[in-house]
Amino acid sequence: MTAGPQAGADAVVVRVDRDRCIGSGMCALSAPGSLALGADGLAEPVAGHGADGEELTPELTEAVDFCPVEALTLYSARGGHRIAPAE
Amino acid sequence: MSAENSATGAGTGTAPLVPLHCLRHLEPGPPRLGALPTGTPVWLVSRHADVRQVLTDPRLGRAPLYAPDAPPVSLTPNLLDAPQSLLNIDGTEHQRLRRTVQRAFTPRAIARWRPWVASVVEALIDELIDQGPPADIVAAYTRPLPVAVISRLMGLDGLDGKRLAHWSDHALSTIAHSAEAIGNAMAEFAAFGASVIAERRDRPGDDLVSSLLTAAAEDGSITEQQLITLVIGLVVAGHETTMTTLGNALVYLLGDGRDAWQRLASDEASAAAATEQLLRAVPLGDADHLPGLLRRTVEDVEIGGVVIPAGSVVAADTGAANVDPEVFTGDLLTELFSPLAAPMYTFGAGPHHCLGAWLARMELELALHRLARRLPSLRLARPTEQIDWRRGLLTRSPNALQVAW
Repeated sequence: MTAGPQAGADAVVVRVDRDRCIGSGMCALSAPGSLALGADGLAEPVAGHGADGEELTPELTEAVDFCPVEALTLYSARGGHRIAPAE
Repeated sequence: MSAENSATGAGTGTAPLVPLHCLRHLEPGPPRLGALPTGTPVWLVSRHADVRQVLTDPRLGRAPLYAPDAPPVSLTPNLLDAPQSLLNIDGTEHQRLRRTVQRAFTPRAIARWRPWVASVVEALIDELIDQGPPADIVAAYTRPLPVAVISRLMGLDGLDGKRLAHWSDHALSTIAHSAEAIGNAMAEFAAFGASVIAERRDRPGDDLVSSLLTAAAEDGSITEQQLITLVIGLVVAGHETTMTTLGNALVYLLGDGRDAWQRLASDEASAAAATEQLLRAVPLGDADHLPGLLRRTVEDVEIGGVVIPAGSVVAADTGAANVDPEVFTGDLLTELFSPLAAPMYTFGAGPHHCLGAWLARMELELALHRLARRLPSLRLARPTEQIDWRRGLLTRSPNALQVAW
C-alpha cells in the first residue's frame, strides 16, 4: 500500500496526468464516484474531486494505487501537498 | 529449440525475410474490409486516432470475439485464444482478475527491480565477453535476460529453459505447429502452472505467484482455470515479447542503425528515448497471420467516418498507426533519440494495455545501454539476409544472431 492519509483527514483532489493516461478505465470502474472516462477516452475527475475536493474514499485510494501507468495523483484540497502515491 | 523452430519455415516460403524494421505497413486510411486467415471478414483500422478508438472504446471488446455466435478468428487456437483468460474478458470481470497482478507491474513497483535487472544484464555481458567473439547474441543475451527476470519475479528459478522455449513457441504459434501439438504443449504447460500454484499455496513466498494467489483468495470470484492461465500467460508474456523486441532491435542497431550505437552507450536517458522509438517503429512480427489487435463490436460504431456494424471483427493495426505519417514524421535513424511525437500503441491502450509495459521498457533500456557501453565495437558477423528467423508464430525474431567485436 502507498501511504494514505489518516481516516477523516482533509478533503482531497485527484489529478490525472493526461499525457500518461492510456484510458485503461480501471479507475472509473473502481471509483465511479470520483473518476470517469471522458469523451476522448481518458480519465477525468468527477465533480468535487476535480475542484474543491471531497472526502477520500477507499475506492479512490484503490483507483490511485491500481492505475497501470500511475497517471493519478492525490493532493490535499486544503494544504495542496501530495498524498499519494508517495514521492 | 532453435532446431525445432527452424523446421517451421515450411509452408511460409524460403525466400529471405526482411528485418522487422524494414517491413512495409498498410497505407493509413479509413477502415477497410479485409479477411483473416480463417476467411472471417475483418475491418482493418490503420490511422493513429482510429487505432486508439478501437482499443479504448467500450463498444468494442475482446470477450465478444469468443462469444458463441463469433466467427472463427484463429486457424489453430493458441494460448491467446483461451476464452476466460485476462486477455479475453472485459469490464468488471476483467478488472477483478487484472487487479490480482496489477500492483506488481506499476512503474514504481517495477523500478524497484532496476538494480537487480542491471546486475543480470552485467553478468550476461561478462559471460559473453569471457566466451569471446564470434557469439550468438540470442543464446547469450536476448533470450536469457528476460527469462531470468520473469523467473525471478515469479519464483521459477528451477525452470528448465528448453521446456519453457517449447511451451512459448506453441503458446504463440499460428502455423508453426498443429492444433494437436499446441493442445498437448498447452496441457503440459497448464499442468506446470497448476503445480506452481499448488506449491505456492503450501509455501508462499515474496514472488508474484504468491501475491496473486493472496489477491485472488481475497477477491473470491476468480476460477482455478483463470489462475492457471494467468500464471502461464505471465510466464510467456513476461519474456517472449521482450526477447523478440530486443533481438529485432539489435538486428537494426548493429546493422542499418549502427551509427547510434555510441550514443546509446552514453547515458540511460538516451537509451530510454531510443527504446520508445524502437518499440514504436520495429513491430513484433509480420501481419500475415494477424493484421492487428483484434476486437469485436457489440453495437454499431463509427470509426474514422465509417459505420462498422454490430458483431464485426476489427483489427487495430498498431504497426501502421505507429508510423502514421500524419503523426510521426522522420525515419527511425533521425528520430531515434527524440521524444515520441504521440503515444505509440505497441503496448495497446485501454483496458487491455500491456501489463508488462514498464518491465519490458526497463529491461530493454538497460540491455541496450549496458551492451553498447561494454561492447562499443559490437557488430553483426553475417549479413541480415542470412538470419534464421523463428517463423509461424505471432512474433518473429532471430533464432540466432551472430555478432563479433
